[in-house]
Amino acid sequence: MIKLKINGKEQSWDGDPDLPLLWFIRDEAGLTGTKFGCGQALCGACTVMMDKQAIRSCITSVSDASGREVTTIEGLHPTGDHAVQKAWRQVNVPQCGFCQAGQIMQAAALLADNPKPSHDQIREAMAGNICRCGCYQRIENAVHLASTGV
Amino acid sequence: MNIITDPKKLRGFERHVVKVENVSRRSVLKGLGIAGGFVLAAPVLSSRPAFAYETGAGKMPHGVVVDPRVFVAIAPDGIVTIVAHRSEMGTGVRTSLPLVVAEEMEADWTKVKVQQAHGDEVKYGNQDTDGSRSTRHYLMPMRQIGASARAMLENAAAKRWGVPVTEVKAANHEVVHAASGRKIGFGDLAADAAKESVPAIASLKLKDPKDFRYLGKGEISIVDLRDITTGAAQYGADVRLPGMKYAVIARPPVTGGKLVSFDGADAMKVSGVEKVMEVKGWPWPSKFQPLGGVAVIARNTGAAIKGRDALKVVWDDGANAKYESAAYRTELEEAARKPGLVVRKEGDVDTALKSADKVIVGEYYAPHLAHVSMEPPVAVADVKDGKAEIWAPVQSPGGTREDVAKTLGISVDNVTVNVTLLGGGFGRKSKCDYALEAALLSKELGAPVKVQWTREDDV
Repeated sequence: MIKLKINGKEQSWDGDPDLPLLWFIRDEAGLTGTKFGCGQALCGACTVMMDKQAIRSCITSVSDASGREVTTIEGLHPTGDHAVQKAWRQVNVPQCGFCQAGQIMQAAALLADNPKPSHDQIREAMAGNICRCGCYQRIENAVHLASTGV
Repeated sequence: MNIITDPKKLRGFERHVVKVENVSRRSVLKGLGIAGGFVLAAPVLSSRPAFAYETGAGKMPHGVVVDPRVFVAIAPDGIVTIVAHRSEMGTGVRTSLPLVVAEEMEADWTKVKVQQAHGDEVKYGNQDTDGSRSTRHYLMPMRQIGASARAMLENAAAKRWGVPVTEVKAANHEVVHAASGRKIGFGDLAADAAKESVPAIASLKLKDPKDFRYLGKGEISIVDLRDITTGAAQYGADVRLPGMKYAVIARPPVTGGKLVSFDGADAMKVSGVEKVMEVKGWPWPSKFQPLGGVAVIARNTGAAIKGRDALKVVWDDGANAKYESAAYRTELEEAARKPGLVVRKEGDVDTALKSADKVIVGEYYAPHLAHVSMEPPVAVADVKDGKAEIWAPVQSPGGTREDVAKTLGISVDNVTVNVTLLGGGFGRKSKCDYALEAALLSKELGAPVKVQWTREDDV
């Protein structure tokens, strides 16, 4: 029996320990904010935080998350008002929106680690998160805004 | 690079928060629960008001519907619900077209709810959100719908006050009689306005663009903005139904190929896998029909994918078994150099080239391309008792409805297509093969099914 916490809530799993965390989050825990884009850590849509670090949940197994604290987009802030989320809305970042949960979680992890990143650091940290609509400039602006206070 | 560093200079997009509702068919049938209001309750009209200008929209299947009773509801509390009948895939159309209606009818955007229409082209007109047509084809009809609703509200107010309609004017969610200083809110007028006849399109007075409050101002955020930032926005894969099964499908690796045999024993040993079954495909050229193959049904998507990896399948690669990209390119190049069919002839190219200062000659070749939307194709279907309900990110909900009906051999009246948000579309999601796969599997399993395409399936 694997035990982990998702958004502060205790979860347990006695199925396949190799099940990608993404599918545990989405299909078993029913938290659908985290998206499936590629399944191979190439796009970043499935990004969540594990003990404050951004990880790709599609290539992380449930057993890798055993005993760890996982945060998804739903748990980032109780009312959806984390600085990154507020900045995202202020800058009007998304178009189709599908990659955005992953982008936001990546950005939140960056700011948790480095509260005042330079533009180069923002670009480096966000480089693995693909946006097919091409909202990159607004993403960069929003991360910068979140770091300077919304 | 344009880095905005002063938050005060940012446009305050959060000022206008509008709620969006994904409504199931059941709640639509309940007429939004609005009693005594201006209700979304238009009878399907045998003849439609003539379309006032020509964009080609009228020539699309099922044409254009310009009727406020189809697209606008006003509740007694003043909340205005506007239907978005096109699919949202990142263009903002789920916001922009309802906003056009709100603009023309003088609704206050903060008192507007947007409701996504399900697939019903008889009711809403053409819904195929493809070809960059939504704004071109619907800007004017949406303005006319808004102006129509505004006229009905103004007529109702004038009657109530016993004054000529020329003396009253709708402004920001109320109708005003300037001469007497009287005002009445849209909610209070809703029931009376609903009794007014829908004005002829030719009689409508559209607003002067200089009086626009919303259009062209760049101050309105998309209706899904907040939900997108909190993870609450619903895309195709986010639909969850009680008892729902998760499926992935092994499809022929060569287009035009077909299944010969399969051994699902190892797949069945994968924890969480519940069933391995054949899924029907259409013979070459299958065009936009399902390719067929072997479906793995599981308790979650991850188990289904792992089960599929364990399948042993024998394929007959069919007529394209020896397909080669290089030979195909040669074929295309030869075809391109032969005289083509003239579909449009204007001017004199030869003369123009001879008299040109500079002539640039080039050849361009594009290989096969996948659309690669961020959200891979996915659909949920619940087929039971001769009825089918679909939830899917489809660009053409009306086409999906017809195709599901045809595939299952049932009437379109027994098919409901709920449109989720699309994580990108690019034309790929105009074709609904993935929804047909889900419908076929749900019918066989007698349970709701989600069919998830992996990235490899898509590319």
